[in-house]
Amino acid sequence: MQVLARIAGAYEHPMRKNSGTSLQTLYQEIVAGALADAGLRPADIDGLFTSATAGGIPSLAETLGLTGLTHIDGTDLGGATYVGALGHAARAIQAGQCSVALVIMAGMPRLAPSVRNFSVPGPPQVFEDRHGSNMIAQYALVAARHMHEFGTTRRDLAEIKAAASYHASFNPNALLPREVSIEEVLESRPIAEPLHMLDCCVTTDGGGALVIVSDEVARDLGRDCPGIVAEAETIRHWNNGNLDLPDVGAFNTGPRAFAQAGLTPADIDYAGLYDSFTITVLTALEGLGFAERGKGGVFVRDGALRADGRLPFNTDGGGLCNNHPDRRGGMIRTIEAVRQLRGEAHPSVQVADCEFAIVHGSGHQLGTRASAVTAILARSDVR
Amino acid sequence: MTTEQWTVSGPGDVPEAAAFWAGLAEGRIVLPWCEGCRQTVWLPKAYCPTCLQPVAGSQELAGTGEIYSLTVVHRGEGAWKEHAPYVLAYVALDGGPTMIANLAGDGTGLAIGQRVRLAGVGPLGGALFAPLAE
Repeated sequence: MQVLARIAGAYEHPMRKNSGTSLQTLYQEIVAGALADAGLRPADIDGLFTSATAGGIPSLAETLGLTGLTHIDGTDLGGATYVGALGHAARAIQAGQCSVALVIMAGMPRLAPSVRNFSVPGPPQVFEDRHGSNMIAQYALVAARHMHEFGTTRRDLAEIKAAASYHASFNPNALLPREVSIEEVLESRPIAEPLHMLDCCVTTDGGGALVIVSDEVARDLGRDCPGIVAEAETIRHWNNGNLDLPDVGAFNTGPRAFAQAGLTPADIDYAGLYDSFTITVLTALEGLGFAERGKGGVFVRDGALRADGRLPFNTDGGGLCNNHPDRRGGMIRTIEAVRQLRGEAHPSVQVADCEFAIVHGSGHQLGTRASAVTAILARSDVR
Repeated sequence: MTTEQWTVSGPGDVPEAAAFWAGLAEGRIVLPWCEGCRQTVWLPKAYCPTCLQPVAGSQELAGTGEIYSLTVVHRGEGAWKEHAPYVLAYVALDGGPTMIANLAGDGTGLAIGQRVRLAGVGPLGGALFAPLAE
């Protein structure tokens, strides 16, 4: 197995609701947290991986005090951006472009409109707006089609939220730390059927960062540094009107990531799955190969996603309950996977002997145009 | 200018789609047709996305199809707030693309797989479909 690069630092800011901190201060607190975790200083960073941010990337570099950058990447894949950055940073390190890469994101959508680069809509959005499409409705269209084709039930989707909320009950920083039952999910108010209020992720202010380093740098740090062993990405869109909504991007990225790592779904001990909505998780489980196409509902029914289940997922409570800063969850799903591989998750949800973790990001809108990114991470002792 | 204003008529509102919107106002679905690839082009474009040759022709579809997916939206955003609940759908057109659409009504009696026909224009100018009479 080839370890492309290693994750030396990971930091999730505890903010969920901003009460006056500036974006600049938030970024500084995040980079400080990630560098302290890695045992590095700003002067050590030579690679920067981020996306849309106030004032652009040079402004962010100034805020972060970065003076020695040799590689910069602003690829925007929506909420999947920071899972993609694992691969982009690892390959830049492999190519010798940089040796200490910072992947960072922050935003305050609860406090103020987030800064994004989608402000000028493309042609498809004109069609969507005239038909009343919106983020939740697009995911609802995927869920409705999945239920029609495969007999998936709202109860199956609700179990995904219930499992996430069980995990969140151990996380004092979670925005929604209360465990909810399947019935509560079913009885919450409908937003875009079949998705109800509790099928939807939270919106939080905050952010996080990862410090990715070469194998050589990792050896000198004396820190537990999980390895990045695979990353694959793709995009799905309307494809000239040939729609197959359950055929999400994970069907492309999952097999490619497993082939890169030389692993199979059976090798995975922990899954960090993008959970903008419950249906996002269910379709990812199928695409990544944990369940056959159409069998995601059957897979989750017996509690498979819970900390003591066959495939523990989002043990921090995920975006459904814990944190989905700037409406982008890929960073936080990755950080919890790092905690699991280091054995630093909450004891009640720590996976025993956690050797391999998969992280899947799903950006934009699953029912129209969406990015998909899958990364596989390995415990630090895997060589 | 706010994002909302852009979305009503901005750079995304391309002239290549003008014939589609004009046809829709007359109760017709007219799409660019690539003779080389023997396919309609969706969304409307000047070049076929498959062969990248200029699209010369257009084709009028029957205006009938099947509901591919649907959602009853209870919480509309922006100008759609006052129209909720409304139905957003994908309709697989006979001889054409699966397109974004509105369905008439509040969702009662509608189901995936049901046959529908173009029935007019929705509240904000979209394609409005209704069930075909049995």
